[in-house]
Amino acid sequence: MVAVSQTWARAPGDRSAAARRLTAVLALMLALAALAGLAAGASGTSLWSALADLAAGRELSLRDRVVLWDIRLPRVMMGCLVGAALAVSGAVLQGLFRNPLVDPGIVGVSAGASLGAVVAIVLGGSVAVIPAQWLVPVAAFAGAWAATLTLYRIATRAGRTSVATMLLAGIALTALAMALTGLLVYMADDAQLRDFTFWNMGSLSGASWSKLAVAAPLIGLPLLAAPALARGLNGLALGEAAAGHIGIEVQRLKAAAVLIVAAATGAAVAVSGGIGFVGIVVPHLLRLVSGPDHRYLLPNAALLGAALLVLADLASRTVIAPAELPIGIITAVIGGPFFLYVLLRQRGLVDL
Amino acid sequence: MLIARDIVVKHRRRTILHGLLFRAEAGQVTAIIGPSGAGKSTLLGTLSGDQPFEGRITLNGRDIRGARPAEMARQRAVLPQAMPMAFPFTVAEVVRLGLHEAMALPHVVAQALGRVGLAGREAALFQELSGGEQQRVHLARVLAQVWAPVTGGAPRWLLLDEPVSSLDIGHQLQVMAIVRAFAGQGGGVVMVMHDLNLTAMSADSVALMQAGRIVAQDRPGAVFTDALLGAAYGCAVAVNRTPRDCAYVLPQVAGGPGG
Ligand SMILES: Nc1ncnc2c1ncn2[C@@H]1O[C@H](COP(=O)(O)OP(=O)(O)OP(=O)(O)O)[C@@H](O)[C@H]1O
Ligand SMILES: [Mg+2]
Repeated sequence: MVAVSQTWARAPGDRSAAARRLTAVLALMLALAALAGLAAGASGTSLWSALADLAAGRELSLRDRVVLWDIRLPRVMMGCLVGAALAVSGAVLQGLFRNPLVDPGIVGVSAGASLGAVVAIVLGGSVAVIPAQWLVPVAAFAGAWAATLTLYRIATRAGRTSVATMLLAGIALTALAMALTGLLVYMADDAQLRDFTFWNMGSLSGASWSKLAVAAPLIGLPLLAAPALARGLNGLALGEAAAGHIGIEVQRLKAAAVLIVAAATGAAVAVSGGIGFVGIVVPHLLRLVSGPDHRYLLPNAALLGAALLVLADLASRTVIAPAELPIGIITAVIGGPFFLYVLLRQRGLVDL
Repeated sequence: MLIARDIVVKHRRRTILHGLLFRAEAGQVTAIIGPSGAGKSTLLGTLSGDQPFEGRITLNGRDIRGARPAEMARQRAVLPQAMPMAFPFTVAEVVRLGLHEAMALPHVVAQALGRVGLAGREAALFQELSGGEQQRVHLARVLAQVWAPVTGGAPRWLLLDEPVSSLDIGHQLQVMAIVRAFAGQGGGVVMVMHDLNLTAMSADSVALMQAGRIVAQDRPGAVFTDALLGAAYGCAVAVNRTPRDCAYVLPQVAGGPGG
């Protein structure tokens, strides 16, 4: 504590010490959320009695092992990955567009990913190049990438982003992607329809070790790469020209940001359907606490996004247990009003 | 030395700069003046490497075309005319943006802010400052980026687009003193100016622009004449001289109280 306050005295206005402390707090919070996710559930299995059994050297019952190891643990880990992916995608998109209102779900990136996934489900049988379990995530990535690029081309002129154009283009892109998705669903046969419906429910309930093996690299790579964007995104807050003046390779930065967002969002949507608002709520809360410096914002967003989604998933499977609520409903109920609140606070600044 | 030869800049079909020659020496303050829309910002932006151009620009003897942004950033800092700022950064965080991790010493931030008269404001949120304070924070950021006017024997450069446009007279003089000191220690300064009197007092060389051309570049005493200024600005300009032969301009308002 003494060291921290000395740092503060030496560099006033520098919130990095606070941001680093926040990282530790968030890591602890994620650990607790993960424990809660493992401990609670519809079945009567108790994490604590299982741990007590293990500690006493007793064999776990088959039922406990299946529930904890094959159902809850992959689900908690998938929640971490998806939450981190959505929150980091939101933070990167917001930095890229220099606006805190951008969310992959609102500006059409998730809809692009969904369209890609549905194309893969319905037409995928004829493409044998990619193994089946990779096909949907890769197609979702391609859809998210195309949507992000289109959005950026439409909304940004000469290095400036028009917020109105961006939000309206997001509405148009979402509508278009949903119309095409509807068309494909109409064309689908019964088996494909079952696949699609299952996927479209948007929950983490299908999480398994084999799905995790696909999602982990697809989400993990962009998450690991994202911190390399931090200095560039900080500079971009000054505008594209000034970012170049302080030495940032702006075109390369933008291309990398779009790829990272597309990969993370695409994979998250592919494994969990559409989960909205995580990308807008998490970075906004973090900026309030420790400022907008992306060097800390990006890792902290990953931690908080993961923790929040694990908790939302916990709520989704316990609120009306033994039935399940789609997790997208829970994030929307919390995130929708939050988005409106941010919009209202921004109204003076954003000239719509 | 910063030399720009045969510079042509076009936006769509319109030619904004018509093959002009511009030069600035290290150790000097070079001002670019001229009426609104003459192309001053376009010229400064071109010197900064912002846009495609025909012709050739060399900074310290090296062609800026194809130079990497990081390499340029070590040699020159740029203060644009308008500065948008997304997200609520603090003053200290804004000043730090131009610094690489290794150089980001707290005392540079504090000293740069002190020079522009904002000592002790590090923790304020940038977006809650007044327009003139924001302009000075950006000036501090730019100063911090090229903190030593000379490194490894090579001069560094400040390219400033209207650095005093939102400032009161006290802070205008403060900024001019900063700029003179930077040049006095061997750095180079190029600044776009609207205030003719401040320009005459602070610049070693003045480039007068009109309609995408440089109509004169010389020491202030030679450029500040009734004929040159009157023709460029399209109004009657009476140039006077102080006893120490510094030019000054008193605008003539038709029907004003001064008669
Ligand atoms: N991006 C652009 N696209 C099209 N035309 C442009 C662009 N930027 C500048 N221009 C035009 O180039 C001309 C010169 O503009 P510039 O900004 O260089 O003027 P200026 O001398 O800096 O004026 P001021 O004193 O008002 O800042 C103007 O007529 C302007 O309309
Ligand atoms: Mg200008």
